[in-house]
Parts: sequence; structure tokens; C-alpha cells
Amino acid sequence: MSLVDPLGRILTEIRDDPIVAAITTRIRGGEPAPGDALGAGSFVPFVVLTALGHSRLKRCPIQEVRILASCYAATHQAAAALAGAVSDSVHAKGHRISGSGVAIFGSFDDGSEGGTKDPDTSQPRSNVIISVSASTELLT
Amino acid sequence: MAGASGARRIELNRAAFDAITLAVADGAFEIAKAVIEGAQVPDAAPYAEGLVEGGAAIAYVGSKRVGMWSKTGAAVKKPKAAKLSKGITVIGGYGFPGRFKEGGTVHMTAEPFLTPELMATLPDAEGFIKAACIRHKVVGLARAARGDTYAASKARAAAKAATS
Repeated sequence: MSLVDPLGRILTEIRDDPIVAAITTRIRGGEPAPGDALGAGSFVPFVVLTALGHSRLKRCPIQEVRILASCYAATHQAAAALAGAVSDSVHAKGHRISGSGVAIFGSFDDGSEGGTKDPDTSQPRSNVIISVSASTELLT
Repeated sequence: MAGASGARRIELNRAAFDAITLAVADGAFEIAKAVIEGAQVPDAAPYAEGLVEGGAAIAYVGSKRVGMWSKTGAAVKKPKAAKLSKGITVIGGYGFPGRFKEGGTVHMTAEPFLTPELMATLPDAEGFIKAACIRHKVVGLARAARGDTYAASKARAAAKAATS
């Protein structure tokens, strides 16, 4: 049985959140999709989730996964607002199990780097680090 | 002194607080060093220069710096964005452009190298703190009153081994 990656479940929760959805439905895993990363004057809001790393408990099938949510928008203020909406969509959310059996015991906003610019396109970006406590196995 | 529940009264060893704080700061600083030294830094061009050698850690208790270390031996400055707490603050990481390798950009997929090492090291944090407490000879009030410090224990064990 392979180690469960809860990133997909978190991505779905963020994408389905009504406040995030009102800003953007471009929630990506790993890298932007074609049409997301545009030049100055054509910036669109989007979010890229990246799995930074995980730590497994030694004696029970639980892992803590850290996920970086890079929130891009047209302005620094909009990027911060998008980051706030992403944070609200997952912060302090308790136990839930997805239809495919991914069990998440809790997820939290675990800090932020603040605002910055993408080095390639100069698009404003605000990061949120999400800490997820999840089962290492699918529950069936 | 036994209470109503039969439990012994616990007295805080307030004099040891500073020693404990320093020991924990020292242990946390060692964790940061271990993470930075253990990180598999991406060294493909053009990221080799600067990034590979740019690892450093710095530790504060309150506003006082209690530890500083870098892979090159150069002095380390506190990042402007870092806020010091009243307790222990330990900052570790790699300089520019490490953050872009760690978190990716719109044209470059993230290649996290620091967080995975941090996540792998954190479960062993207790060992770092314990080792620092031993180095600082942090012991409980009752043990200290008996003269039972780590060094004394070691000496007794050595004497016992020599006689047996």
C-alpha cells in the first residue's frame, strides 16, 4: 500500500470553497496550467499547491504534510486577499474523509512568507503554508 | 511533602529557568544546523553558486543572539522580515535564490530541499534538546541537591565499572 498524498483532497477543498471560487477556480497542483502565467497587464489570479515534505509518526499510520500554496493575483492586495481566502478554506478544519478514502484529521494555516513577486513574470504572489494531519493509508 | 492525593509537592526550580532556556535554544540551534547540513541542495547550474554555500542559522533568546553559524563561516545577519519573540527564536535557511527552488516559480516547478530535511529531522528534536541539556548540566532541584549531575553520574558509573 502506498503512502497517501492528501494534496489532491486539499486542492479540491480550496477549489470548492465559495470565497476562493469567487476569486478564481484556477487551483493547480505542482505547477501552473497553460494560460495561468501571463505577462504584465494580463495577470490572472491562480493558486499553485506544492507538497513541501512530510513526516510520519513512528507508531501509528499518521503523517503531517506541509503544503505550500502560492497565491498569484494582479496586485499585491489581491494576492494577499486570495491567500487569506485560501487560508480560511482550510484553517482549523477538522476530521473529514473523502469519497476515495483519504482521511484528514485536521488542517491549519501554518504561517506565511508575506508578499513577493515572481522572478520571471513579476506577478504579485503571496504564500500560505498549510499543515495537514492525515492518515498514511486509504480508509475503505 | 505529600498532598491530599499523596503526590509530592512540586517546587519550581526558578534558578534553573535561564539555564533551561539556554539549553533549549542551544538544542533548537543544533536542529537548525543539522537541517541545513543535511539538506540535499540542488546544485545544477545556474543555482550552484551562492545557493550551495549559503546555508546559515542564527538563534536568539529574546533580543540577545545566542548562536550563529554558516556553512562558509561568514557572519550571519538576521533577516529583516524575521520577528523576534520574547522566548526562543531560531532562524535557519539558504539565501537567494533558495526560496525559488523551494517554492517554485510560474516557469519552474518547485524542488523542495529544505522542508523535507526539516520534516525528517523534527521527530528527533527531543534528542537534540536532551543533548543540549546534558551539555548545560541542567538537572532537577532534588538531583542537584544530592550532587547528582550528569558528570557526577558518569564519574560514579566509571568508578563502579572500575571496581567490578
